[in-house]
Amino acid sequence: MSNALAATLILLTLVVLALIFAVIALARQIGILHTRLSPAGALMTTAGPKLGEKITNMSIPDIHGTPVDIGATGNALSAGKSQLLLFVSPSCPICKELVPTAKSMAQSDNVSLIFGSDGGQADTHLKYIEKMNLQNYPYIVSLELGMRFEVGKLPYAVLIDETGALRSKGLVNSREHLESLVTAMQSGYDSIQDYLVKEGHLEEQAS
Amino acid sequence: MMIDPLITIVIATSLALLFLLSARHKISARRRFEAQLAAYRILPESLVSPAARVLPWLEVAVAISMLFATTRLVGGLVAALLLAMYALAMGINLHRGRSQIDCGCGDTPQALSGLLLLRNLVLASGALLLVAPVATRPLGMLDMLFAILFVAACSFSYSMFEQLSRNHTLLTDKE
Repeated sequence: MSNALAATLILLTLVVLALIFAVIALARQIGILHTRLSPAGALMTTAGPKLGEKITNMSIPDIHGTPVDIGATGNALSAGKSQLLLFVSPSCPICKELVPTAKSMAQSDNVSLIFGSDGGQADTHLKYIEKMNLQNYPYIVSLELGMRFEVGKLPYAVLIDETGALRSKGLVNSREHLESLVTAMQSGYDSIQDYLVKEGHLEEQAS
Repeated sequence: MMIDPLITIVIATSLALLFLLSARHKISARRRFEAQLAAYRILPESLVSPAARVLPWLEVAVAISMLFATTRLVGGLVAALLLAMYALAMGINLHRGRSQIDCGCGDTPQALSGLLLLRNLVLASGALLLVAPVATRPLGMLDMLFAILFVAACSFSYSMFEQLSRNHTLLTDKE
C-alpha cells in the first residue's frame, strides 16, 4: 500500500471514530433529556377563584351591549356547552397568534368561545374584532371580568364546564397550553403540575 | 473464498473484547445474572444456577480462544453458537410477549426488542466469518495500526448502537 493511501485511510478512520463519538454523545444527551423533560402545559396560577368553584351570577354585556351569561348563569347553563374564556388585548402579539388556534379548537372540541379584554378605547377593540374575524364570538370589554378571575398576564384562558364549574385556567402561550386546558377537563387532572404530582413524578410542593 | 487476515484479526479482537466485557458483568454480579436468566423462563429452575456459573466462563474461554490463530476456528464457532442461542432465547420471550424482562446485556437494564435480536444476528454472522479460510500475507506495522483503529471503530460503534437502542426503548415505552 502506498504511503499516501495509508495516510488517507488513517485520516478517514479517525474521522469515522470522531463521528461515532459525536453520535454516542448525542444519543446520551437524548437519553438524559428524555428523563429530564416533562411535558409542558399551561401554567396555573393560584390567584382567583378555585378550581371546581361554580361561577354564578355573572352576566356581563359584551362590546355591543348584549349580555353574555358566564358559568352557571341563565342561558349559559341551559346551553349545555363548556365555555372557554380567552383574555386578549389588541396590543398583545402572542394573543394574535393564539386567537385563530382558539377558534379552531372551540370548533373541534365543541366549546363556546368568549373573548375578554380589559379597558381601553372601544374602537381599537372594534378594529381588532374586524381584523381577527371575531364577529361571531362574544367579545367582552370589562374590567370586572378580568378582576373576577384575577387575570395577571395575557393571553389567559379560563375553562368552565357545562355545569358552570371552573375546570381549569392559566396563562397560555401556545397551542399546546391551550389544548392542555381542555385535556385537563377531559382527563380529570387539574393541570400538568397536578398530573405530575398525582402520578408520582413530582413531589408535592409546599405552597 | 479467502479473507484478508486483517479483517479476521479485527473481527476476532472486537468480538473477544465484547465477550470479555459481557462476561465481566456476569461474573461480578452473578446473582443478578441468575435472576435475569431465570426471568427468561427457558431453563428448568434447577439448571439456572449452574448455567449462570458456567456461561460467563464459557464466554471468557471463547474470547481468549478467538485471539489465537490456532483456536480461532473453534472460538468463532462457539461464539456464533452462543450469540445465536441468546438470540433464540430473546426471540422465544418476544414471541411469548414477555418483552419487558431485562435482556441481561449489560449493567443498565434493557428490555428485549427486535433491535437486540438483529444485533445478535449481526454479531453471530461476524463470528461465523472467522470460520472462513484466511489468506496468508505478511503483516506489517501499518496493519497493526489499522487493526487497532478498526477495532476501536467497531467497539465504539457497538456502544453507539447500545445507546441508540436504549433510547429507542425509552421512546417506545411512553407510547
